[in-house]
Amino acid sequence: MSELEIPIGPQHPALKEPESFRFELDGEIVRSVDIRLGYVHRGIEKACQDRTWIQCVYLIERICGICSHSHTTAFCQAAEQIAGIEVPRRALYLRSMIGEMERMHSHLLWLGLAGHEVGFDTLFMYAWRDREIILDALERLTGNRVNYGMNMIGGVRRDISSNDAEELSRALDVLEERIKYYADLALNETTFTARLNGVGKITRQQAIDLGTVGPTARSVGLKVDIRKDDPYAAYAEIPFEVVTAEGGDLMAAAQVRIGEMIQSIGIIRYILKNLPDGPVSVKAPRRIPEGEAASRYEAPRGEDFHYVRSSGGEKPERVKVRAPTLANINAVAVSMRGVRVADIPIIIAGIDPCFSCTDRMVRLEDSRAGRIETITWQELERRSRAQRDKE
Amino acid sequence: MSLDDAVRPEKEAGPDDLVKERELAAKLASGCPDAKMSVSNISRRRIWLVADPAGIRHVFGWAKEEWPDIHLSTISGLDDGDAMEVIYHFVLDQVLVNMKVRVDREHPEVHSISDMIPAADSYERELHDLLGVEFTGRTSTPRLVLPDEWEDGVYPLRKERKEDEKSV
Amino acid sequence: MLDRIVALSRASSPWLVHFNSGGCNACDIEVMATLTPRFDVERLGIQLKGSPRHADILVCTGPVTAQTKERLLRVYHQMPNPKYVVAVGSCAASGGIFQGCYNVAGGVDHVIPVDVFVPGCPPRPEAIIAGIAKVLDKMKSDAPKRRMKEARG
Repeated sequence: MSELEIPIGPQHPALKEPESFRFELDGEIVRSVDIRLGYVHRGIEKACQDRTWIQCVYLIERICGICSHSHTTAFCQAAEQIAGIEVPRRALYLRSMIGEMERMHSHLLWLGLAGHEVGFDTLFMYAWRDREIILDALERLTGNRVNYGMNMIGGVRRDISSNDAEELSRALDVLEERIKYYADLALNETTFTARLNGVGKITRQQAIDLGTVGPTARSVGLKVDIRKDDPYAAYAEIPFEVVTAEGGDLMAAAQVRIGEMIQSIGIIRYILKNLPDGPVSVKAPRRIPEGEAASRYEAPRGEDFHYVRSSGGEKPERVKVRAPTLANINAVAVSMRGVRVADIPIIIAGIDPCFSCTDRMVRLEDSRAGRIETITWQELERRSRAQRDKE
Repeated sequence: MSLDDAVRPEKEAGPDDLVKERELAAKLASGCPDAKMSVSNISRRRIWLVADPAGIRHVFGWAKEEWPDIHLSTISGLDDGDAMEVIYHFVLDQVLVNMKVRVDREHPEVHSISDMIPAADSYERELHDLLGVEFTGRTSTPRLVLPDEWEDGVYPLRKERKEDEKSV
Repeated sequence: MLDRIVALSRASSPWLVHFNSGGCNACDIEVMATLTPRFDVERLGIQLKGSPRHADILVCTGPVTAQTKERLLRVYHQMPNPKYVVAVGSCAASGGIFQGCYNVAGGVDHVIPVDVFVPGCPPRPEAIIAGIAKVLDKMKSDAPKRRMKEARG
């Protein structure tokens, strides 16, 4: 049964951020979980108050390495709104395009990790290999695979050439085939489905009460998507479907993410075909006038919320960021009640946590039996697989 | 300030395009008299208003009934030197309401709403960590984002704190 | 003699342990990308292991937040000698863009000795592999020096 303290650092080959979960157990069943964040708390909001608006964009890009464009767009939108800057339509379209590419590479990353969590390493390799196609495209368009630096207050930094557009279009064709293959594989491959069906369930009411966002919310049938509900960038002009599923379990979450990738391909194609002419940016003032704005963005993980206030200076008065994973963490806690320890890794992976957005060590407490363990994520996964292999 | 004065329509939008927002603001103000709301600004899908801290629980208790799908995006906090401002950002019918309450900045205290709106739990904890806001009515307010070793009573986002003072 | 064989075999199939000290994850994902078919770091015999107790090389990312400092130290001390550290990314080198932030120590070498720095924000997988290759060279050349040191007593 359980042993005593094994303190080792939070490290794990797949889920890379350090974070802290404290599980209260009853034998092998989870009674409750307490979640302590903060391993990646760096003090960014405070730092923003001491940096110029442009410097803030650089910093905010690095809140999270997977959803950097989400954060800079949300921030730039807020600043633009306060300053009354009208961003050129071409820039709005390009912002949306990069955002969808980010969504795709993020969802493929998730698919690979989910595969890894259920022991399906082939899926991990395939998904991450195909993810490279998007990263190549992003590199061609923006100069970097990650942290693209595409946004500026007033628009985007770079335009797209017709060559780039053609290459991107070809890349999308390849990706479309691959994603259809994943859709089939992931949903019909029994080793995968058995580990996802019925696991990590939350109800619709829980999702609403807990302020759940993104694919996790859509997995209980909530038709919420900021791109439709509170359109930003070019989304008011772009046709697409909000993907939902029923069931609230991890299978539903997988269905939503895969469906969203297909939608993203459609959105990017529409953008390439209907890209408005004109400049890609307008000059922004060094001092943003006094004012405040609340900006919402549909990041790959859900609602990314930025509240920005200016007191008329070169540096913001206040930048508040609420990234999607923080909104979803409570849903995870709830969905863990009554589950087996063996299912913990996949449930946490299920919300596609980006803890650097929000901010790993796992503590297992069986207070009735008087046992406490602090283990690594790695160890938890190992036990999870061992349990699965037994079944 | 009347509702009409508060409306600042956007360039393309005429006043009629903000009907939904204006009606919603009016409904909120009249539905929660305890909160003594005053609207400071209305624009597309955004309402900004100021409320009395004593009326917070009433607002959310009532809003939950009227809009069962109410979504609390987050709770922001800000030390402006004179007071502590706590801002509730919540979505009603796709309109984002930003409700500000102002409290004492040395000993900021607001009623907790985490029993009514479970989503508020994390946001209250975060505000407590970073700005020292006390949320009354909670059984506990455990740390969320600051390290265990962080000094008690030191709130990084309060105005007196300089950036490079560290407890690392 | 034995030392040399051990060093060579160690250098030809090093075991890595990875640790994120509070970074944004960009570097971590590029580290992971080195495992994928496109970069395929495993053909060099490099394997990512979970436990520091079996690792030769610690690959560290992030600017070292207060909460990770203790754990980073523990991971390092659990590694058997000889051990090597690769700091991946600008943050691991100097705190990067988070220098001066209140919860950040500002670079891995504030906490443990570092053998190789791989700068970048994030560095490409190729650069990370090159950094690891540099550490392998170091491992190979360190073995005779150690033998001499031990002979001198």
